[in-house]
Amino acid sequence: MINHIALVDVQIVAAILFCLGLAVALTRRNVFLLLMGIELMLNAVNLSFIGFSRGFAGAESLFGQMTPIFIIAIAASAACVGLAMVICIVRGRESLDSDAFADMKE
Amino acid sequence: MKVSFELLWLIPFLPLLGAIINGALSLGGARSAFGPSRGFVSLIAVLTPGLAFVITLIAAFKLSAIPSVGDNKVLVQTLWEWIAVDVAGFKFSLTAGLLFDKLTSMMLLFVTGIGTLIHIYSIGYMWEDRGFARFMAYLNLFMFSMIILVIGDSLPLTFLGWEGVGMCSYLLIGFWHKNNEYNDAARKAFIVNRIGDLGFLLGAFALYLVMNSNGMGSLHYRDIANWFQNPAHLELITGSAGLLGAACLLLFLGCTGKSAQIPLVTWLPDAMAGPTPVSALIHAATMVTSGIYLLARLCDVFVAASAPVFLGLTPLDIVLIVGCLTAAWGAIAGLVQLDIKKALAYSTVSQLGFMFMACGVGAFDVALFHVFTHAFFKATLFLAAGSVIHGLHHEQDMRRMGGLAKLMPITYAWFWCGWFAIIGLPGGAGFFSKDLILERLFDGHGFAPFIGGVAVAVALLTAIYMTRVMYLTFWSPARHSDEVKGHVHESPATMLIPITILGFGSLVVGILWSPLVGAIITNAGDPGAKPFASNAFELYLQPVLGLAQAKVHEPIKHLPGHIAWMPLLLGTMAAVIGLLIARWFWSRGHVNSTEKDLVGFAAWWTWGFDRVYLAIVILPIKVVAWILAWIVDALVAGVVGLTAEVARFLGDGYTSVQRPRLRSSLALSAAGAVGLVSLLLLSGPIAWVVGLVAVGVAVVFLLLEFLF
Repeated sequence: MINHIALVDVQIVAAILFCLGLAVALTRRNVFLLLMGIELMLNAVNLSFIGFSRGFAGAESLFGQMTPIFIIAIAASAACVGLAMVICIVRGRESLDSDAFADMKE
Repeated sequence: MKVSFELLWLIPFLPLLGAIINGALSLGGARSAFGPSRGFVSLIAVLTPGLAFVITLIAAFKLSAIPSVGDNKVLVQTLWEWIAVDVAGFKFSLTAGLLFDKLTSMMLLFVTGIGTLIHIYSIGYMWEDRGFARFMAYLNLFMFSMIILVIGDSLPLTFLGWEGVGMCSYLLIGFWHKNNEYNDAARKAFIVNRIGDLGFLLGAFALYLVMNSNGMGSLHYRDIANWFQNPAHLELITGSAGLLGAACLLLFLGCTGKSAQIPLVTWLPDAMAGPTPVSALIHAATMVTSGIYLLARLCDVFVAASAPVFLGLTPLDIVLIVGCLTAAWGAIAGLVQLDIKKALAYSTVSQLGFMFMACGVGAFDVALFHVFTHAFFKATLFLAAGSVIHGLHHEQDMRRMGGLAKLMPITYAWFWCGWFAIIGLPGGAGFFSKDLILERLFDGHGFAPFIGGVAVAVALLTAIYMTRVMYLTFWSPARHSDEVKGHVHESPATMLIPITILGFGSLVVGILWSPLVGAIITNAGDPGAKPFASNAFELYLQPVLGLAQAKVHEPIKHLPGHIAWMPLLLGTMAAVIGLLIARWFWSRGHVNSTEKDLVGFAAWWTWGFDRVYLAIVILPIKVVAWILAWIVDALVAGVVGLTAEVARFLGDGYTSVQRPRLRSSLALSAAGAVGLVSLLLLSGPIAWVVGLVAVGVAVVFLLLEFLF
């Protein structure tokens, strides 16, 4: 059944997912939602890789399937670090609003 | 014939095990007041080299039992693949393996045998010392390195041992490291040895290049010997004469470093700072002979390098001259020493010169025989001197000795044997080996007989300075300092037993070369052998050295009862006359008591060597170091600082475009990415549209930022 899906359709879905993730990350001020948006963008990229990998045969296809696994692993560790940092900051600020952190430049 | 023997690895491994155990005990007991149990440490320290000696004996018997006559019989064990390179057409492989042939067995027998005895002696000598376990660990580590040096089957493995003995020598010279002079002596020994080590390495590389001229480059001794013995390679050898000469000279430089020959001679007298067993083991009996071992091991190479390299001299001629100069230098310096150990140290330098002279005329077997006898009598002398020092409560100055013949009779008896052997009175070990060297020198061609004349003069000097030591220490009236008077005591049994064995050896080991005794030993299991054909020692080393020696000079015709009268007569006369001269000068112990014990630059008998080093080595190095320090401070530090400045500048610049709000940063980077992608990857109007939209989004966000 899956063979009936055209390659380009997968890419369109991935693009939509990516845009949704970007929109979430840009518009929501809650830090956790911001992180979720980033996760969504990463998964959109994964989907795109998987979609392209179907267009190839053999080793190249495998390459397209392996890269998402790396991305998932790295995203997991990035989320760990990000959440830990967020928790640290939130403890100090008593706020989840990402705009409240806007003085970090100084 | 090559036979595999699977126990060979134990010979170096056992002392290493001892070193590890004793090192661990030493570290473990570092905090306690008295240190780890001395009994247990002694047991480990003596047992491990002792077992190595036993395995060496087994291997030597096994080697002799290999049924092939005349052929080079060897025991081998391949340990592991050490280096394997196969890159871009360059192939090089090296296995770490052990080689046990006649030469190795001879060296190992006395290295492990005398080494074990000196370990036993050290128990008595060092018992009171706080660092007892550390000392024993170092000694065991030294045994391991020395064994690796002689049992390794390739130049790199020998180099491992070569470096190891240098390091142990450093550790042991500076053993009493609270005295800064001792530390200086240790550093000096190490640095001077490093110069020689560089020669060794470069020489090994050059040798490899010579052999690689027909693609058969190898660093294994058996390959080297076969390559240079092969008559088909004569043309290649002549073709690369310059490189081969350089290889020989560089390797010889390595030998001069370890064996304290001119120009790298100065470290050995200073090395007497170490405890006396160390002087006996390392700086008299074993380590300093490794240069002779290397020459003998590479005898085929040195003999093949027959082209003149410098002023019409071949590498072996240079060995001969250097040996002669060093022997004379050591003997003259020995005449004026006031410290008993330093007198023996210069005597060692001089005797090593004798060995190199023998190598220089291609008499490698005689050189090794002198190594062998010297190991016995010099170890005896040093250990007995250590016993004297021990008995006099660490008094080393001969001006405050004298009269010890009655106070320390056993020590005296065995020192007497060592003295008897070294000056070459008939019957002692040195009598045989030294006269053989004279015989071979007079037998040589070119200027060798002239060198022989110098050698007789050096033998005379040897008799003078050794008898001087005897008079000042044992025979003259006592001149002890007040705190020692009445407390002089004979040493404990652990010290006297090794001295006894070695002293007895220095009386009798000479007969190994005697044709009569040799024939009995050699021909015991061989009814076909001609009587008096040769002697045991020469015949034993014949398979390793024979081919090379035959190329240098005609083998001496040993007739029944053959004795070369002239060198024998000259040598004995030199000994007797020297004895009488010394008796004339020092029989009442006359040494000017106001005379200062000169050290370093003030000591004229070093012939200004230290000054020459200062001018041609130390000062240039200091200048170079100063320039390098300037380069590091001004240039390198400047570059590093500049990099930091650039990074800081860029960082500061970047912070001005950073937005404080997280969302605006994200939006800007997203917009930037979209813009870049559309401009780089897309084409046509759509690129412009997408790019403009991206920029628009970015502007909107920036505006939002400023508005709220």
